[in-house]
Parts: sequence; C-alpha cells; structure tokens
Amino acid sequence: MSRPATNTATIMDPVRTPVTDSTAPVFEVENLYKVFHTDSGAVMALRDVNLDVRPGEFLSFVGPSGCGKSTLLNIIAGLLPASSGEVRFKGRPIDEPSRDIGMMFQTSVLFPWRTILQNVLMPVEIFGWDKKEYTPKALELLEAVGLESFVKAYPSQLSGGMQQRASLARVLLYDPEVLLLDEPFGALDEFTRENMNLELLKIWTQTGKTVIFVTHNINEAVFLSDRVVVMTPRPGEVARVVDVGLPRPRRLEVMKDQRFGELVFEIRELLGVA
Amino acid sequence: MSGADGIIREVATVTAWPETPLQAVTQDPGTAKVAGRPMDELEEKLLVGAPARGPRRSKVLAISLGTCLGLLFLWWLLPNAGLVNPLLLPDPFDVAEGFGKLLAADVLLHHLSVTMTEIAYGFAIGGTIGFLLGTILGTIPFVRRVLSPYILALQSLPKVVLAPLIIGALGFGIESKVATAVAICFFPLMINTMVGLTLAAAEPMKLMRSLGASRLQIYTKLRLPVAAPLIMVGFKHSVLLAFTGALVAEILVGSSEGLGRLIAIYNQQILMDLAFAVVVFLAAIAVTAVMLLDYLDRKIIFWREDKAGVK
Amino acid sequence: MTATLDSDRARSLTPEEEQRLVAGDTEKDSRGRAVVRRWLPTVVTVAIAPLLIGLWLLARELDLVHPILLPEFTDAINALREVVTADGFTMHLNRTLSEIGLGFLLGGVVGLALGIGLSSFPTLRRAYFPLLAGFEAIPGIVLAPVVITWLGFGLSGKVVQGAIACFFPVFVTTLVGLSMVSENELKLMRIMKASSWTVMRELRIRSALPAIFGGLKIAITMATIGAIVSEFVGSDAGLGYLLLRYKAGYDTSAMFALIFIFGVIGVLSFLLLEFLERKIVFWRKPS
Repeated sequence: MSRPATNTATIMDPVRTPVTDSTAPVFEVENLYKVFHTDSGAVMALRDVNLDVRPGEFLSFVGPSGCGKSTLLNIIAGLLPASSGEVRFKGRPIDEPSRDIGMMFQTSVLFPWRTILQNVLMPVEIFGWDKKEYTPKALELLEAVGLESFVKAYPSQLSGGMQQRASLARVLLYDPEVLLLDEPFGALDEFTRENMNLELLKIWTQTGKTVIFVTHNINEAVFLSDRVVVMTPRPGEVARVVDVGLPRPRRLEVMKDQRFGELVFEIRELLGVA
Repeated sequence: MSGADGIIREVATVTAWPETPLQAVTQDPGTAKVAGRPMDELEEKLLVGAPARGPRRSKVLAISLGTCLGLLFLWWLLPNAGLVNPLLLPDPFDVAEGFGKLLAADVLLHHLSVTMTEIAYGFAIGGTIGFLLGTILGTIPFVRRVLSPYILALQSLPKVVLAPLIIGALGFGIESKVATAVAICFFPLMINTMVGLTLAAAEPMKLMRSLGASRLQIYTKLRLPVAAPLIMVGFKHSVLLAFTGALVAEILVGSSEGLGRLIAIYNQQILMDLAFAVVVFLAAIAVTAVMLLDYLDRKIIFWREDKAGVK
Repeated sequence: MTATLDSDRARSLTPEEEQRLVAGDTEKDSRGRAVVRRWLPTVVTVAIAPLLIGLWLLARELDLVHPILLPEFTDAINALREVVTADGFTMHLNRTLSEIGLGFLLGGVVGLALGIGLSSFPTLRRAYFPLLAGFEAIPGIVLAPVVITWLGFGLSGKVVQGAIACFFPVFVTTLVGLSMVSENELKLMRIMKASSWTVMRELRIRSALPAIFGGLKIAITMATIGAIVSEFVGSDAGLGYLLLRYKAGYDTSAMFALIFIFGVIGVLSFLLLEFLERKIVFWRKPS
C-alpha cells in the first residue's frame, strides 16, 4: 500500500470536517414524486422516493434504463424541480443548482473551441473569480490526472478517457463538497473505465467528499460504494438501499470475495434479473 | 465517442499513474514488442518505400487544368468555326478586348463602386436584422413556437417578388436597391441563427446550469459558439443574396447605374463582348468574396470537424 | 373509475423530451400552469393573423402609409379575385408554373446525374468539385440577360435560367449524400459480392435520399427565383411579367394579390416535396 508517486496529495484538501453536525445527512429526499408534462400527456418518472445521503459516503444509484436514476440525480442537483415532496441540501430545501455541488456527465462536455486549460478554468470564469489566481491550481490538477502535456491541446485531440479526466479536473477545480456523477465512465471501454474508477476512489478517499454515482452496472456499483440505492422502473421507485459492508480500501481483488458475489446477486434479485 | 483517430496513446499516460493492474501487463519486459529493436529484412521491405496511396495531387490538378483549357478552347472554337453566331458568343479574346475597352473608358470602376455600395449597405442592414431576429427566435422558445408557421410561409415566398413593390415605394434611387437587397438577404441569416441557437445539447446545458451560469453567460459561452458554424453558412448565403438583390433592382430600374444595369444595357444593344466582360468581372468578384468567406469560416470556426462541405 | 399507472403514464423521458426541458423551457410544475402551456402557443399563433389585419386597417384608417403603398384591405381582397379571374391569368399562371417545373426537372436531373457520376469516380470528383463549387458562387442573375439574348423572351430561356439556378443544390447534396454511407453497410455489400452498380443503386442512393431531398427542397425555391428573375429581365408572359405590368399601372392591390399567389405557390411546392419525401424516404422521421 505504497504512497502514490504523483503530487495528488498536495493539491487535494485533506479530509474536511463539516461545519455543522457531522452526522447530519447531506441530502434528505422526502416523499419525492416527479411527473413530467409531455405533448402526449403526463408521465410519472419517480414515485415516493425517500432517501438520506450521509456526509462523506460513496453512494450509488443502480438500475436499468428508464428507472429514473438520472432524473433523481438531476433533482438532487437542483436542475429539476420536484412535483411533490422535498429535497433538502444541508437542511435547506434545494430548488436551484449550488456551487457546493459538482457534476460530471456521461460525455465529457468539453467545449471544442476551448483548449483543455480553458475548459478546466470555465467554472472560475462563470463564477466571476480571478482566472489568474486559479490557473496554477488548474495546471496542478491537470498534472494530477496525467494531462500535463495536453494543456494547450483541443478536446478533439484527446481520447474519450482523457477527455473525461479533463472534465474531472474541471469539477475538482472549485472543490465542491458533493460530487454527482451521472454514468461518467459509461462511454469508455472497460479497461479505461476500471482505471478511472480506481482513480475516483483515490480522490474520494483523500478529499472526503460526498459522492453519488449513477450506473447501470451492478458490479461497478458494489465495488465502489458504501451503500447502493437499487431502483426499479415504471414508475421509478427505490426497491431497497443495500449496505455494502466490504472493507476499504477496495482493490480489484475484492471481486473474488464471496461476499461481493452475494451482494451483486441480492441486487439482481431486487431488479428481477437474477 | 469519436475523437479516437490519430491520438496520443493513452496507455503511455496511464503508466504515469500509480499502480493500476493494467500497468503490470504493459510493462512486462517479457511481452515487449516492437520497441526500439532493428528491423529484419522483411519488415524493412514492407515498411520502407511503401508507395503513397490514392490519386496523386498532380494527376488531379492536371485533370482540372486540362478541362479548363479544353473548355476555353471550345469557347474559342465555337464562334470562330462558325458553329455559333459570333455576334451572340464572342470568343475569349473579344471578351478580353471588351474588358480592356471598359477599363479604358473608366466605366467599370464607377459602376462597380455603385453596385458594391448597394451590396454593402444591403448586407449590413439585412444581416443585422437577420441576426437580431434570429437571436430572438433562437433564445425565446415561446416566440419561436408561436411564429413558426408564419416563418415557414415567409420562407416559401420567393422574396424577389417584393422587388417591384419596393421599387414602387422607394423610387428609382439607391434606396430601392439597398432595400431589395435587405429584403432578399436577411432571411438565411435569420433562419440559420435561429436554428443554430437551438442546437445546444442537453448535457452542455446541464453543465452550465449546474455551475449557476446566467442566461447571458449561457448565450455567450455555449449557445453562440455552438451556433457559429450555422451562422457562418447563413452569412455566406446572405452575402450572395445581397448580390442578387442589388442586381435585380438595378435591372428592373431603367435609369439606374451599376454593373447589373450595364449587363442589361449591353445585352439590349447586343454588344455581347462588353456584356460578357462585365459578367465575367462580376462573377470573379463573387467567387473571390466566397473564397474570402470560406477562409474566414475556417479561421473562426477552427474546431469544425465535419468532413462534408460547408453547406 | 381509477386510472392505471401503465407505461404510458410511468416512464422516464426520451432524449428529445429531456433536451427540450433542460434546454431552457423551464418547467413550472403546478398542474394549472401545464394545462395553460399546452394550448397557449396555438392560440397566440392563430391570433396573430387577425392582429396583423387589424394593424393594416388601423394604418390605413390613420393614413400612416401612403395609399400607393398600402391600399385598403378590402381593395386588396377584391384585387385577388379580380386578378385571378382576369383574362389570360390562367395562361400566365400555367406559363410560370411550366417554367418552374421544367427548370426544376432539367436542373434536378442534370444535378443528380452529375452527382451520381462524379461520386463513382473519385479522381474526377476531386478534380471537378472545387471548380464547380467555385461556379456555384456566381449569382445566377448575372447570366439571365445573356440567356434571354440567346433564347429570347419565350419559355426556353426561363427554363434554362431555372435549371442553372437549381442545378447546384441538387448536385452538391447528391455528392455529399452519396459519400455518407455507413461503413458497415458497405462492408455487407462487399461480402455479398454486389457489383458497384448494385451497390450504388441499392445502398448509396437510398442512403443519400434524405440529403438529396433536402437539396431538392432548396432547388425548387431556386428554380422559382430563377424563373421570376428571368421574367423580370424580359418576358412575353408569366406571373412575373404580370407583376411588372401591374406595377407600371400603379395597381398596388393587384401586386399584393400576385405576391400572395406567389406565396401560395411556394408553400404548395414545399408541401408537395414534403409529401413526396415522406412517400419515398418512408423510413425517415419527419424533421
């Protein structure tokens, strides 16, 4: 368990102590319903979701396509309003996005007309902060994710995995307490995805952020998380929240554990694909 | 996900990261492959001296030039061999002579400046109107939805038919030429700006909103750059239509000046060498303008990836 | 009566729906607001037409615009009837429609043929495409007087002008469309040992049809403009010729009527192409 050779440790803040009660949930989802009004009528995407997100935990939402996991994430992020029920962030109801909540999406969403560095610095531009002040940190982050030689490159010159790493650097730049990740590595090949997951775990361990990770891959969810929220579709509901008791730090070898297989199958049963 | 061609090897950068299982495999010396050792005979024969593939540039150039020269020869041949009435089709030399005559009589430059002024004003006003209207339509969904049938109707109307009305309203001076150009050239820019501004996909929008970007920031940092390629295309079409508008108005108004009027006059008097000279001159100007715009397009929209032509 | 929560009512959003919702059509969630939103746009759309007419009447009433420019609304309506029932109108209408139709056909066929031909010979394509693209920049109108000098005021000159105007959109979109065949489909053809002509016919042209129809829609507009411009430069018949005649007589109402008729022709030709496209390219979702 040797220390990593990069200087990740110097730029990531040490595990932070929350300002308020350290056991109070970061997010509270209470009786959440979500209905959309489309051209063909009203559609219920989420039904009676109740959930608490604990500070510093790694939480996954898992379920098949159409189970509403992304919708739930978007509501938690403040991008969509709830139809009924309430979502609270640190005790206050959330109705618009917050700078304490960072997001990553299935595509890297890097703007092709900006260089990698300009892309990483974009949040700072939007917030109206001093770009010059944050450039050193941006460069450090890019080095930490292995993109130091692509600082002046354009996104089209990078592969999918490298682009996602850049977008990871972008979200870490302004150091939000919470990371909401919507199938961020789903478009990558398996090997790259595994690397990115391991890197994500490392960052999570070092920064103590609260992470919500959306995926349709049950193995991935169990491997990464403290708890797994299992969701079923039509309408989207939480079947159960499964506690993954496996010890940390997690190595890929943990997938050989019997307990790992049992957890995966428990979830499969809940989803009706066992 | 695209972006996979011709890219820097990712494995190399991954190995800069600490301790991933993949690293163990790629760095095992026992499985090292082509790295650094000298080629054997067969490898050398295959790799070095492999011929370039695809049609040679010189061959392509030869065909283009050859065809051009062939056509020019045909053009010369037709009137001189009596196959076509030389009064109707002057040969290239006659046209060149005509061009010389016009230059000497100081005619061309004067009328050129008149026409160019009309086009410039027409495009400036029409382009601005088109861009502003397109921006409103592109950023306010309600307005767009409400007006879309009327926009479709306006699109289906060939706006040249407004020219006589405009000339009737504004008289015989330069105003009617400019107004005709405006009427004809504002539409492509408006439509393209409108459509371009609706192109921003869901995930970039979510990113901007998750960062708390204001509507203005979303417009300048996301919607506008995404719309830029389409706007440039609309720009190009607008310029060409401004040409058309000004020339139509010149032709319709008997007392006007300008290159369009010249073409009309010389045709009426069957002075075909002069007419052709002006046509070729005008065509050259238009082609140059488009080439300039294409160059601008490539510079401004440097990130353009589509291989299909800029249409 | 209890409603059931079936898959129509309980599902997640399609990507298009999500795109619309996230891209700024911010959704307020009270039920009343959603109901209002559904019919409000249509109501406003329909209300605009009478609103414009109202403005017209007001402008005339207050004499804000010279009567030569803006006749009485009722005069314009009457003019429409008079123009259409006037002597020889049908002849002029048929003349212009023939010009447009034949020009479109001629330019379309040549454009398609050249597009298909050139895409089969990559070397030729690389040699000729930049040349032809250069020619595209030339505004068709500069050729109109010359065409008329050669072919006279009759039908043929207009057809040629229309063909020149609409050749390029068809040619370029055909070429581009033919080059956009998916790799996998080409491989399938090769495995089945299809001949190049079969490949062209079955696969490439079919794949290119959406793009080609896009070009055809532009082309019909260009052919119309070509025909009208040519009639302006000099003609012995046609709706453009009529327009100039009415202008000479300061008959603004009749001009309005003709402009309206041109608009109708434009909309109808667009709809015709849409209909054809939906029939021929039946696998494509409407834009």
